[in-house]
Amino acid sequence: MSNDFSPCEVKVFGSTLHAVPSVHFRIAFAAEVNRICNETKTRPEAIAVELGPVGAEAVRQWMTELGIGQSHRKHLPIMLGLVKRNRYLKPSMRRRAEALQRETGKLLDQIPDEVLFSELGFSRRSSLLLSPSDSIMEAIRCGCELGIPVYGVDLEDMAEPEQKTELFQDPGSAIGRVTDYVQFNQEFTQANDEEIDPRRELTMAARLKGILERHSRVLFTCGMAHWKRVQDHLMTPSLQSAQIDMSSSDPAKLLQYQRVIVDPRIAIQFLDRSPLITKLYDRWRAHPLINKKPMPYDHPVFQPYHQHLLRKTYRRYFKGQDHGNWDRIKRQDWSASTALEHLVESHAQVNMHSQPTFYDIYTCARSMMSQNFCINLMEIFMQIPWQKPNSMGVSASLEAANSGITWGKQIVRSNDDDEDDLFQLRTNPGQSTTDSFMAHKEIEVPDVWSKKDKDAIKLISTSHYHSWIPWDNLLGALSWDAICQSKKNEYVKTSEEFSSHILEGIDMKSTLRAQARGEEKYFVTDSKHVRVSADPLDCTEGLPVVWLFDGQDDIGNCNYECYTQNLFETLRHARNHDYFERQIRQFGSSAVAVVPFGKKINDDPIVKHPQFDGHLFEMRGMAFFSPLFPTYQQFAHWFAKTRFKRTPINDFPSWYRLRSAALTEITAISKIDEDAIRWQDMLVCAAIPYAGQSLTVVTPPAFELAPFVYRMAARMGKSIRVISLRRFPQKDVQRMRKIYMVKGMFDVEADSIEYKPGIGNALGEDINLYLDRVPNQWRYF
Amino acid sequence: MSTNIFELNSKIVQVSQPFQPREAGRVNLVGRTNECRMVLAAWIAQPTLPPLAPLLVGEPGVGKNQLVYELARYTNKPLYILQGHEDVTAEDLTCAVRFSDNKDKKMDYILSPLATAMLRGGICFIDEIGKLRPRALAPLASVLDERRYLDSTLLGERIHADPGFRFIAATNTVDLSHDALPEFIHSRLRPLIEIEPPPRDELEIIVKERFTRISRASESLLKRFWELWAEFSPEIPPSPRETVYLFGLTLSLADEEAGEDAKPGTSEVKSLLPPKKRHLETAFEQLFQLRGLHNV
Repeated sequence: MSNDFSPCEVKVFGSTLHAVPSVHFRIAFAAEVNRICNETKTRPEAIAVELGPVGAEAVRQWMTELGIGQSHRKHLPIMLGLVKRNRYLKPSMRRRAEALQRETGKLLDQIPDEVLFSELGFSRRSSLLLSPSDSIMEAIRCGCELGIPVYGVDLEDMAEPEQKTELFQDPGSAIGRVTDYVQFNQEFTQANDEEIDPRRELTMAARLKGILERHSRVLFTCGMAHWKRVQDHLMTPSLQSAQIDMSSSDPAKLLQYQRVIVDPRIAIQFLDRSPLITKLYDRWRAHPLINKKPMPYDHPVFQPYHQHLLRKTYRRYFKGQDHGNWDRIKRQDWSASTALEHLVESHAQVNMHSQPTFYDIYTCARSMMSQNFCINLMEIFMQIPWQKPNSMGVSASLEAANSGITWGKQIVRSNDDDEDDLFQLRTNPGQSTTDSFMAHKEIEVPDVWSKKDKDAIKLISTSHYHSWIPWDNLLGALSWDAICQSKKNEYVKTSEEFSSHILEGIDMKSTLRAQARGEEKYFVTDSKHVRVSADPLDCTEGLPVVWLFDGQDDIGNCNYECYTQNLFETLRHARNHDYFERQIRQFGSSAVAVVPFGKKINDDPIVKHPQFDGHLFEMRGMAFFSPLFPTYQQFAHWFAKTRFKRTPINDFPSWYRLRSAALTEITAISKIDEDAIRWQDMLVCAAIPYAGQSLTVVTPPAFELAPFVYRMAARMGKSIRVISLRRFPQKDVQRMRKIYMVKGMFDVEADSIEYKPGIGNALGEDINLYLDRVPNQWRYF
Repeated sequence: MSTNIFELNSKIVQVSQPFQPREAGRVNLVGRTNECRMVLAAWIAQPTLPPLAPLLVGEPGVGKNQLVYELARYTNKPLYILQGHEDVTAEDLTCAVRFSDNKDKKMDYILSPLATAMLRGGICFIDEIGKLRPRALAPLASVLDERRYLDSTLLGERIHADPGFRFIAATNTVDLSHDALPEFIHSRLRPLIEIEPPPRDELEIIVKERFTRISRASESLLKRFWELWAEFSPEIPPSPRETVYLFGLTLSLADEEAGEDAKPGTSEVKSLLPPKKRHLETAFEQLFQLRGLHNV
């Protein structure tokens, strides 16, 4: 037996054990497990986790039933859990338990839960939460996806170990350097329950030895506090290997684990920095057999996100009214916003968090801002598809119970038709009870949990052709870049006191005002070229963006297409459901996101790739009306924000309708022959009615739009900002011209597209490509 | 020159004395980690933003002052306390004058705790700020924003805050209701940190640390205390001050009983024994059941 350099790698009987000692529920460690499973060199033959054999099997079986497997990616609903009855009391509590029975004159099982908990620290039940950000769940999930055995090596039944407060580095700093993190921190995490943990660690080591006899490469994940002693036991030759009882999959045994859906107020504490980040990790994590490449550590999911979320909250909270009409509280909030951001960063610094967490942000907001702002902030944080109670055939739920007499303790209730039990929920290491309690009291529970059924329209899952997400990202990135660049060219009207030059003429208003005040002053107007940055609070201005890739007039065998979004699917995310329904009835159910002009290409090598299922459309131009968001939830926000006015909407959208509407406008201002209109001008004219104050046109070199296009825009009170295609990298433009439409299924529950396996391989592009370039304003992460 | 004399732009002024929590028999602060961290975070100055001025809000007796003492100890800064009440004027916040004890001088300038903290780079703590009248608070406006100075008409001077100066205020929840603080001060007193009653286990630690004499009987006494409290006020938890007073009285009752049992004519008193449940029950009745909640 030998141990090489890495503190997380042990060689026993010639087999290699890759360990991921972790801080539970933190993405850094789940990502490390995923990385080991994705890389061919380290891919394990078996998985071992710090759960009992039956517990591990119960989780594995449920994941398999959920569809997690080798052939496709599947998201883990947020959040599921398993609840089990506890039978054991700590040996040190024996005398106290006897005294309690004498005092009360009752047997232990007749004594109320609260008393048992406060006197003996005993909970009747314990919970196991299937959080996507937990390394144990990630390991079992990877085991299902790789189709390899999953072993639980811990004790199945034991008294609940005491969790002592431990001081160690923020687990957020472990991203990409888990081994270093463990090496540095594990000595601080030794202070465990001396009554329970030594037996567990011995058992884990003996069982691991048994597994290592059978498999040459094993991945093991456990709490960081256990690893040092497990490792020492593994290196002890006298410790005999132990075999795991293979009857763990016995259905009778599995029944002791009751499946539950977890209340968001409880779940939020087990989702790393915030539910949103965990959901995004769940969305972007790599399937070991399909993606084959782990998520890069510079992925936005791993980066600080607090400023983005705060800005999102500002946009939502301060929108709708002019600054002048804000009430006193809104004005106070606005003036405190800078201080809030500073406080969030300082708070994270004082708490030694490498990145501000949900609690940093929420705690600071609560002490700096109004209640309404905090509600908006909370809603932004909670914007993920929470699993509804009584769904997936699970009738039981884990809910927050009234704290009552046990001030400061977090008591939860597990209920189903038969029973209703109270028990204490253990908090995360590094998270104080006060934090949990605060969340428990304050969090606004999503509607699905307050039993309101908003889904008036039946949800559907559709399998058809979707654009490839990296292309969506690139298009979004370049279009936003175009909007920002065109804004820099803006000319702003100014008024100056006349000195020597009349410039663009007399400014009558300013002159008359001055005269009325009795001042002998004359004012003239001027246009100044100013550098304007895109307004971060308005992400709709500048759209549509019309891309013209060539200046040739001939149409050839090219045609227009309409790529649409189904508005019915946005309904379930609509905050104002009735308003959405009215709009859909009035305008139609399909919204045009992109109108490309070009032709289908059949002889492209990618199209002929055996794993490619779809087609290629090569563009000469395109009108881009709305960002291509990865979720319908974002589309719902977009339509609410733009009031359905910035996107062509129809039950049967077609280029013909857009063209007819544009022609009506053109003929009203010019007697130009319909056939003489160039396709480029027609594309721009079709986009003008959907612009806000201006639209952006990206033109090829030496190309000029026809004068009637500008006249039509002016007639509709809009301006056209033109910038050159040369401002964009040639490589990006070439990629953007090719739309690969590929087969995929829209997963309604997860609110995301599941592509057929192998598409990424055929295209040679990772699904996360260009993700980091998506503008903040349009990000989901 | 003695330590309470300060020369301010050629004027000799007397400064306020700092409060030394350690000298006042201070005990260790139990819990309150999150609240302390929030204050420390607020006190971190940023390049573009001066340190914030937190406001502690909570019911009487929950430990707001203890928290400030702990912060002063932790940051090792002198703590200057100004007690708020209705008769405080704007000048009391800056500088006052008195007839001098020195025969060569007619008047002495007395700098307020606020002005002294600004000069010395200490912490200024205004307790019960909600009890101050709005017009008395006016001088605080320039202290709590980026100007960080205090003008005194009496002194004819502008006092600029030392970079180490920090500010904190506290008020009872009831004093903050119906807009007691004017907006110009309310908007400057941020973050607002709510101090909730401590959880049960923290209260028990407080009792055990304060009253080491009862440690042997503490488990059964505490158990009885929670039973009594659950009957008396199941919804509202006890405050640390109420709890400490209760156990203090319990101890005194036990001591008094020990004195009564001593032989007449001797100075011998029974050795001090831990109090019994009956002492606790009597104390509880005296402090709560006869007087109602929060009258301690």
